[in-house]
Amino acid sequence: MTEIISYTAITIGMFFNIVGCIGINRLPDVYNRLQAATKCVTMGTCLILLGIMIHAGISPLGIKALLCVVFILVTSPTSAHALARGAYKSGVKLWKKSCCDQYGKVSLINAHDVMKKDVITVSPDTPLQDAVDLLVEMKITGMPVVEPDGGIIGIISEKDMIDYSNKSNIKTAKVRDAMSAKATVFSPDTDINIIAGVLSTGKFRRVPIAENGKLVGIVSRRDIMHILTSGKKKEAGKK
Amino acid sequence: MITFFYISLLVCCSLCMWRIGRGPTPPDRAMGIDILGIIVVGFCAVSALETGRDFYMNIALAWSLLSFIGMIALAKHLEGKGFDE
Repeated sequence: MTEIISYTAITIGMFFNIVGCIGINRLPDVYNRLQAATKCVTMGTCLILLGIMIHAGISPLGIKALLCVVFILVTSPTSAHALARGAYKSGVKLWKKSCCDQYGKVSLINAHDVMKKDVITVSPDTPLQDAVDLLVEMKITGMPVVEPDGGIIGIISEKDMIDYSNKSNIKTAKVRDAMSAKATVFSPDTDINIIAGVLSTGKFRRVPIAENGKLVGIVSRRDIMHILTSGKKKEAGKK
Repeated sequence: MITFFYISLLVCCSLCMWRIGRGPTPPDRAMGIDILGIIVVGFCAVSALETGRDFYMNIALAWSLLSFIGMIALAKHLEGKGFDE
């Protein structure tokens, strides 16, 4: 009876081993392969050793097999993790159809840590000509449109001004006429990855950050660039 | 039955060898070696089953320990800098 059980366990183990080894040849990149191989081969080998243990019973052979099972269960996933990390750090690319790369993202930083707090704003009733002058003078490309009480009602950028100047005369217009009224606003504790995602879609160059409807800061593409480069600025300057 | 076990383990070994040979990146090869190490433990286990001697399991234990340490070292090396540097 024990013989049948142990041989069955070993056979199943062999099956898993072969599946795992086919996996390391068929799957597309090192991370997928590691996943397949480590799971299947660890389980397969543990089943083989368990079969041996059942066959040998309580004897030096059986006890050593059990010890080996515990040992492989601990070490094999550990070394696979270390290897995956090493592969990632050494720059091995993910398969092109991999859907997301959680490990590669910028670590948890909130909008509050990145945003510029002294924002240049404009009121909706300012003449558009003044707003144009202000943008050029301050060397910025856009600014939030803010009511006197601090509430955001829109955003005005170079693009809005140029669009408006194509349609009608900017001399007589007010900021209210040209601004984009649907500003996407984020709260200060938003994860910076979400904002980076919005900025990279190409529609916006900057997003206002507001708390309870009041403007508290602004995050531009340049601010995201700053967290991406931080620490290496001096080295690059020397070269 | 034992012959069947040996044959399937040999198939596993050759598949691992194929991956080690083909690469294409250093971590791929390292992974092949890691898996090959575990397959060798299976080999030792089947040998122990065949002969009923327990010293094969000593080899298996030592082999899995050494393969683990080797893999951690390789992974650290990969993290530090690529094999080409």
